[in-house]
Amino acid sequence: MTLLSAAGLTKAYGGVRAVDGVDLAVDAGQMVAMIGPNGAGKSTCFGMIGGQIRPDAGRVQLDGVDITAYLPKARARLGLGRTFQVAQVFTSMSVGENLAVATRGAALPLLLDRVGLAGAADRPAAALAYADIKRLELALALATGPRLLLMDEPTAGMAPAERRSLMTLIAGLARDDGLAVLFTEHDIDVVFGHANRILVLDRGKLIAAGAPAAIRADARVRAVYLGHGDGSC
Amino acid sequence: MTAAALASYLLTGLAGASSLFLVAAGLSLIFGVTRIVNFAHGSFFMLGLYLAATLVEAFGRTPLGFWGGVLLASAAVGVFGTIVEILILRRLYGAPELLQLLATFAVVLIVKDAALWLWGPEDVLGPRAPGLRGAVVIFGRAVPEYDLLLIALGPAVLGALWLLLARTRFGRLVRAATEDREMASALGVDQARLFTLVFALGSALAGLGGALQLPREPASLGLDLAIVADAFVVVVVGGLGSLPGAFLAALLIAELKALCIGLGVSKLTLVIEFLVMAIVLAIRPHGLLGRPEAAPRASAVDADGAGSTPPLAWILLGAACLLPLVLGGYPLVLAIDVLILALFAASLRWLVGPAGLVSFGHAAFFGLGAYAAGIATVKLGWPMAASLALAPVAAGIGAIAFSLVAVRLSGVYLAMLSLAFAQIVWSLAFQWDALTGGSNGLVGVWPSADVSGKPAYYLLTLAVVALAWLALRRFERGRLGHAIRAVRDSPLRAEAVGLDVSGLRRAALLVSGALAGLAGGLFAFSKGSLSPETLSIPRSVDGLVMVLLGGLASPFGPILGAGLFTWLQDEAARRVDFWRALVGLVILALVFFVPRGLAGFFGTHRR
Ligand SMILES: Nc1ncnc2c1ncn2[C@@H]1O[C@H](COP(=O)(O)OP(=O)(O)OP(=O)(O)O)[C@@H](O)[C@H]1O
Ligand SMILES: [Mg+2]
Repeated sequence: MTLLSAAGLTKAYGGVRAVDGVDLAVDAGQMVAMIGPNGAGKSTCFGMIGGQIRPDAGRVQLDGVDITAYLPKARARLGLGRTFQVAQVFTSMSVGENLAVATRGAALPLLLDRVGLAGAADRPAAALAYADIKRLELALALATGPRLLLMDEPTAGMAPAERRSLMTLIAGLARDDGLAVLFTEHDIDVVFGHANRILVLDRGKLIAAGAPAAIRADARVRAVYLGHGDGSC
Repeated sequence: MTAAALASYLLTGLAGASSLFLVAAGLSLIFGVTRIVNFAHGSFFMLGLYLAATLVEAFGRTPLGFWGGVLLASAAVGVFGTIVEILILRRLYGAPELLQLLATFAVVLIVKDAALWLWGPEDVLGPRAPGLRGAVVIFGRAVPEYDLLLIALGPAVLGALWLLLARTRFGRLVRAATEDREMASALGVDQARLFTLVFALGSALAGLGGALQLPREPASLGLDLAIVADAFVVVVVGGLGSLPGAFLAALLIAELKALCIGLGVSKLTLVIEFLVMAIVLAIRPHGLLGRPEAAPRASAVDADGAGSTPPLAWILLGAACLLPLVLGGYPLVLAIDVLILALFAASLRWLVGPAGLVSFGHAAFFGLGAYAAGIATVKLGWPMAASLALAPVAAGIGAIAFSLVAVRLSGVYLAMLSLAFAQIVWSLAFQWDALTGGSNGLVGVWPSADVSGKPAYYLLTLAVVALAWLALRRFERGRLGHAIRAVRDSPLRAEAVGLDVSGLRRAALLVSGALAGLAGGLFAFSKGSLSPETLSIPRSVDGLVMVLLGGLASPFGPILGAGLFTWLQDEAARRVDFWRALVGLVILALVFFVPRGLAGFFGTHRR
């Protein structure tokens, strides 16, 4: 079942088309990765889906509802959760207070346990290491009980082992709860290890979309992206 | 009105637009490059006017003397601006906005007292421009030649600045810094020098704007805040950092004002400014030609509403109840002042700290409450309890009106808007004779018989303030208070988890405004009379100084701050002639040496 679909998403800054006519769809239970070099337009795409950026053209649908004109808070109520490239948490509060703001009394310990912050409820957010801040942010995104989760570089700043465990957690949520996940990631191992589908963006345009094996074999993708050498841009 | 009359009003408007543009252009340039909102910009203007008056008098009223005096005054103000930048602002570029704004306000206070000392309290009248004393008949009406010169000067200065920015290396650096600070610093621009130069240029422009007013208006000590409020409106409407925007906005506002005068509704001039700003910002939150600010800067100093009410608070409250037994007369009057100001400062601390909304016009809400209570008592004959209850309601309504425009803004935009709002409320109090008594104010706002004695009124004030303070503290630590703090910490995250960011900001303003209004109501009955001073900009700044003195981190800060401030002011006003300058120096000392407030010394709980 298609949960998220976007058609013709376009955003220009000055003369530069940051995102240019992007179509995409994510099904419930599916993990979709969006990859592309720096400045390809990934975060801008996420902003338009999440409601932080108003598109110049194009439509966004969540579970059949046209949400193009909705504010982020309305999208959140419809079941859209997201994390940001630069993690956004409530820095003046403790971990527990952070989640209390986001949830309406949902089970806190469970949530913390899920993201690997068990027992940290009383720690001030400002004192967390960056990887833990990312975890807290994920917990905040999950606290509203989303059906669609957008994650902009969820594992940036984490050690390889941490990356794997975080992505395994997310994959579990997708599999067990039918969460639809769209994420960007520069770590190619993470991408090919966890994504069911991959979208490749270059200079605002979608240049390829398909299963990991097909993307790996795609000549254009290799040229603009994977061909860069170490594959981690 | 005939077409000819209309045309002549529009011409006058054009002349006004030019001088407005000169001031606003400097402010905008300085902001664009240094990201500092320079409160002292109006003071630079005022200084330019005073200096020009003195210099032209000294040089003689020949064309050479006049123009030499004007240019020299402008240059002198440029030098003065440079000194201010090097001595004060240079140390504050990375500091929270609140501290920067306060530091520039300290300069306002010091310049004002310096001008008082140098030129005295009387207005100084300048000569008319030699060679341009006549008038030209246009559309059958006489238009002063000097106005025509000013009309030409505005676009000329815009053109010159444009050339400077487009064609010179300095200009390229200025544009680079305005558009992208990181890039500019990466390019290896000597930032310190660039900032100083821009500040010099901006202040010289303000000085020039002031000096050029010489034949048109007398130099007076009230010009600083009046001008800076106008300039804020122009810069905000035009878009921060945009010179063509500033020009357009100056034109729009000056013409609308001229039209209001032409149509015989001159009282509308003050409100029209706010209306224009409200409409423009509602449609374009970044002004006519402004662009969105990159990332909002980290909000003020950390604020933390945690911890239970310590026993100390209850002991203090108990001691405060017993105070009338040992204090009487004047000290008790001061104690009432402290209580009222503590509530005022607490409402402001809540807004600036936990809610993260920097206000430079908080006295507007205090004054709305005070005047509402006063008017209900004096003009409507309401009983005291009803009048006092009206105070927070009236201020709350004012806060909601303000928030309609304000919630979309943040940071410096909000600070400037709040200043403009306060200036407008002040003007209403000043000019609406029938309702507010105008500059004479209202008299006879006496409390009811049972609390007319000072000790009784003190206890009433103590009860109201203590309850309001506790209620605010509960609110701050409750669900809504946390949500509001969440919006301050990260509006992006708050929205993404479904919080109503605008609604929460509105709620924060409403609570803060209503409590300030309550303080104002108590103030009205404690003094028995009201004047526009009650809600003037300096009172807003007093509030900020108290908050800063006490520190943002603790809810006890405002109490400490209000006490210290009242004591300091009382001592200073009695012993020193130029106490305003002294307050300015105290602000600077605070900003530089104890930016986290004195409550920080007493070990506020940081978890
Ligand atoms: N607010 C903005 N103003 C101007 N240009 C912008 C803005 N936001 C993004 N851009 C530009 O749009 C393009 C796409 O940016 P975006 O952040 O979406 O890329 P990205 O794929 O997320 O890159 P990265 O991997 O570095 O995060 C870039 O060229 C960027 O410079
Ligand atoms: Mg990105």
